[in-house]
Parts: sequence; C-alpha cells; structure tokens
Amino acid sequence: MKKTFLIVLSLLLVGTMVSAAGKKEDDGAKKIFMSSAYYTAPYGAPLQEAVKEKAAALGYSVQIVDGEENADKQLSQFKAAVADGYDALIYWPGDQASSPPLVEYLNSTKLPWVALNTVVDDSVIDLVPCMIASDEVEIGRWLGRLIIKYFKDNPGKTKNVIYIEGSPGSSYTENLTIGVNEILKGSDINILNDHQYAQYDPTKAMVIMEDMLTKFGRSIDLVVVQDGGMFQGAYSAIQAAGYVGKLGLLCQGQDLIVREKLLDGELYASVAQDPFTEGALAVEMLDKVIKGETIEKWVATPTGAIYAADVDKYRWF
Amino acid sequence: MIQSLPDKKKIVTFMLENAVSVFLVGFIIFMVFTKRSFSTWDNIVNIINESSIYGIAACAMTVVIISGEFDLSASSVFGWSTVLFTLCCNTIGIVGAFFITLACGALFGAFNGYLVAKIRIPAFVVTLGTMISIKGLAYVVTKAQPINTTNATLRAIGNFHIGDISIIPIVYLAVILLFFWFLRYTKFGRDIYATGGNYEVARLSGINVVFSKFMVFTMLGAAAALAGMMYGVRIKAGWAPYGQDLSLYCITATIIGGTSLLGGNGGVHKTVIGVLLLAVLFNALTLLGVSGSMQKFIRGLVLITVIMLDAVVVKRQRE
Repeated sequence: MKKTFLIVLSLLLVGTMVSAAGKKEDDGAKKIFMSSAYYTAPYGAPLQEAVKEKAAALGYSVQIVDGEENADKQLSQFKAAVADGYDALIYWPGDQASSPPLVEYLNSTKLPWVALNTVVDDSVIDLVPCMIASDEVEIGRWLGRLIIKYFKDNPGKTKNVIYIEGSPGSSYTENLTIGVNEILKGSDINILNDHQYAQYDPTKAMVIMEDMLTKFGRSIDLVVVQDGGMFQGAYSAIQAAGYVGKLGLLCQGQDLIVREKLLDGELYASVAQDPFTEGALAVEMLDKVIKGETIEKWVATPTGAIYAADVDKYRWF
Repeated sequence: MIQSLPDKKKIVTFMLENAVSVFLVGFIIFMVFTKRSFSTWDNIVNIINESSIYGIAACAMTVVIISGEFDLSASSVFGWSTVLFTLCCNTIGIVGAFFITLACGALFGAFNGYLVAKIRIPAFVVTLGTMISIKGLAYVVTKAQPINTTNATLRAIGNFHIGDISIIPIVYLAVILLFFWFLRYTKFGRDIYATGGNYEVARLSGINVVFSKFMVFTMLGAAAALAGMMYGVRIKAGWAPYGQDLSLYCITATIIGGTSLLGGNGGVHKTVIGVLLLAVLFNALTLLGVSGSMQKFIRGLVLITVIMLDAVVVKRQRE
C-alpha cells in the first residue's frame, strides 16, 4: 500500500515537474518577472490577474512568484530571474524598511523595472524608476469624509465609531489611519476603541467585532473597517448579534461582499482601491520604461467614494 | 545473472536509503540539461546565499529534533533578533549588537529548555506560548514599526565577498562544521542521541537528560538569533514578522534530510542536504516559470513523497 502510494506520488511529482519544464515560451515575446510579497492576499489575486491580462495584451509573457513577505526570498527570486534572462521586473515590496537592498539590486541589474502597491522606503524612493501605488493617505481621507457625511445624513445624539485596522506597522494601515485622523481632527466624532488590528483576516475581524459589541453594544453608531475582507468578518459578528440595520457600516475595498451589502442598502459606502487598474497600470508603466519613454515617478491609482448607485462603474473581486 | 541479483538489491537499498541525495543529484542533472541559466555561477551563488540564513537555524533545529523535541518559537526569536540587532546597531554599534542579540536568543532558548526539560511541560505548549509572546514583545518594543539601519560597518560586512560568496554562507559553513563535530565527536552530542532515542533508558544509564534537553533549546535560541542577525546583514532591517516561516522551514528541511521526528537518529549533514534540496527546488521552480500557487503545491508534494519514502525504507529495514 505504502509502495503503491509512493509510486503514485512520485509519478505525480515527476509529471508536474516535466510539464512545468516543458512549457513553451512565447516566441520572441519579452519576459516580465514579478515578485509579489502579498501573492495570496485577497487584493493580490485580482491585481496579479490584471498584470497577466495587460502583459498578454501588450505582447509580453509574465511569470509571477510568491515573495511570501520575505525580502530575502524576493532578492533571491530576482537574482534567479536575472540569471534566467528576464527582460523586465515588477517588484511588490512586503514592507518599507526592507526595500533598500532590493531597490539597489534592481537598479544594479540595469533592467527596466517598476515598484508596485507598497511604497518603498524614503531613503530609496528617488531611485525607483516608477512607483505605481494608491495614495494611501488619500484613501484614509475619503474614509474620514464618508464618516462625516454619514453622521450628516444620519443625525443622532452621539457620533460613536468603532474603527478596525489592518496590520500593525504596515505602511498601508498606518497611512489610512493618518488620512482618517486628518479629516476627523477637530470634529465631535468619537472613536470608541484603541487600535484594533485584524491583520486583514476576516476571522480576526469577527472576533474583534464581537468583543466591541459586547463592550459597547447599543452605543455604537458606525463601524468603519479598513478593507473588504475584514468587513466580511465584522459583518458576520454584527449579523449574529442582530445589529444589522441598527448601526451604520462603512469600509474600503471592492470585494464582492462589499458590492452585495451596498446593493442591499446595509453598507453606507465604500472607498475605491482598484487592484485591476493598479495591476494594469504597472504593466503599462513598465512598457513605457522598456521603450525609454518619459514617465512620472509616481502613478497613483484612482480612488473615491462608491455608493450603491455606482456599483456598475467598478470591477469587483 | 545469479551473481548480479545481490548487487541489484544492494543498489536498490542504497538508492532508497539515500533517496533524498539521489533525488537531489538527479534533479540537478535534470535542471542542468533543461535550463542553461541554472548552472551559471551567479545562480549557484544565489542558491548558496538563499539556503544559508535559514540553514543556520535548521542545523540547531536538527539537534532539538534528535533529542526528541521540536521548537515552534525559533521563528519569533529570529524576528525579535532582527529587531534587537538593528536597534543595537543604530545605538551601541555592531559588536555590542552581536553579543547582546546572541545572548538574548540563547536566553529565550534557555527559558524554553527550562520549561520543557525541568518542569516537563510539552514542547508544543511551551514553544507555542513563547512564539506568541516573543513576537508580541518585538511589536511592543518597535511600536509595530519596521526599522532599518544605515550602520556603516554592517553595510561593509554585507558588501564583503570572497569570490562572489558573501559572509553569510561562510558563517553557515562554520555552523555546520561546529554542529557536525559536536554531535559526532563529543560525549554530550552522543548523550543527545541517547536522550532522544529512549529517554528513560538514557536517564537510567546516568546521562543528564534534563541538562541535554535544556542545552539543545539554548543552542537553538542562539542559532535562531545568529540567523536573524545574518538576515539583518543582508536586508539591513528588522521587524517582528520577519522569518515567520522559519520554524516550519527548519522542521521540513530536517525531515526531508532524513532525521526522524521521533528523535534518536539523524544528523546535521542530512539536514544540509534537506536545506539544499529546498533551495534548489525553490530556485528551479522559479527558473522553470512555475507560478507561485503551483510552487506551493509542488513543495508540499515533495515533502509528502520524501516522508513516504522514509516510511518505505523503515519498513524494508524492519523486514
């Protein structure tokens, strides 16, 4: 039995490897290599699909690998890609602090490259040929504006907010909060909780929301969540506790659950951050770098408020 | 024909007993002929560099596994060490940073060792707890922010190369030799095999089993700290989540190499093969153009295949 199972496994392994090795490369097509630090994140999948689609449309072949939020691994991946003769590179950093050695290495290759999504460290930002990323603080400002608008549209005795964030130390999380605080500064809106990080994990967001409902209950007027995946978890807790319709909901993102709850009228609004546009822009900009065209050093992904009436104007994932 | 049968059996036995090495050699030959870029000097150096940082911790994890235990907290000690090392490099300089980080890692390991060996709490529970608390401590100290360093000496060390080989593989080689010598040629090393093989028999034979277990955890703490510092040398930054896959990687490399999770056998030389196989595999899959999702599937498949192979070999030996 063990031997049979082993033979089956070995055959499966050999078959997979041989089929991988036997893949035909597009004749004459330039090859793009992308190391994605957040390969498995909900935002990563549509972004990477968009990269593939745009690359195919522009006549490039593309390989995307999982950098696993490990700068050392990403460095090794890029070195392997350079050794293998790739023509251009896309770098999605895991965090700012570890980006300088990678930026220096990528520049040393003399190959065309762009950075995507996570903004690199300030010390090397001028060395990046083109950074394609959302203006994270602006997304936060939009969340802040929507919080104020919500209370204008839904006046009450109190303006109590529960605010659930992503990951501690992540520049994205921090910048969103900077934007929110900038808009709310001086207002009478009261954020009830200290920092609550769900680490972009729906399950953690659900547990946090359960705790918040236990602690603050009916005194909560509005729940604000930093992304659509965490919104799903928080919504489950709110639904289980029978609070749907009794408090306002606001989030950021273009997840399908967000679309569904916008159409149901349960979610007040969302803030756009489009992975499809971001992925496509990355390849477009890289194409320009390859062709030696002049490009802006920073290309911001468009953002803004999404209401139920706007859902057809956006792509959802 | 009659004479060739025992030879054939010998070859099959040899192939099975050294299956991972045979697979590695076969795979390298396959890659050399499939992808010309695989055998370029730059790529070979890349594979060596890639395997070195986690390899340092994997050597010490092997010793812990030989003693019949395992440690989940190595990844958090690694992350903490990148933070402490970077902070100290920015304040007291690299020499102080090295010794403080190493001592701190050893202290965390000793704490695990004390709870497992002396208090007799299962390693899974102890190291799960310390894994969470050490990571939490790193978050608290840094206010969850990643930090980087521009320490000139660290930069110089990072840029130091001997024929394209950086200092990290040299440190890795030193660690391999140290652990190999320790396990094979010292009484204490043999005591660890005995402790892992049969705890009660070892204790009744007069071996200080409590001290043996205490020391293996301390060594792993120090090795994880050293690996964290090497990461700092390469990336020049520290953050709590760095190295979160380290423990699992080390255990995987050790098992693939052929050291039994049950303890009592194995060796660092086997783990080196396991680490090398993982590095070659990661590198090859990237060169072959395999997507990130498929890479995960293949890596899992290799692990299961090797474990099954080990089970077949053990059954054959028993028969």
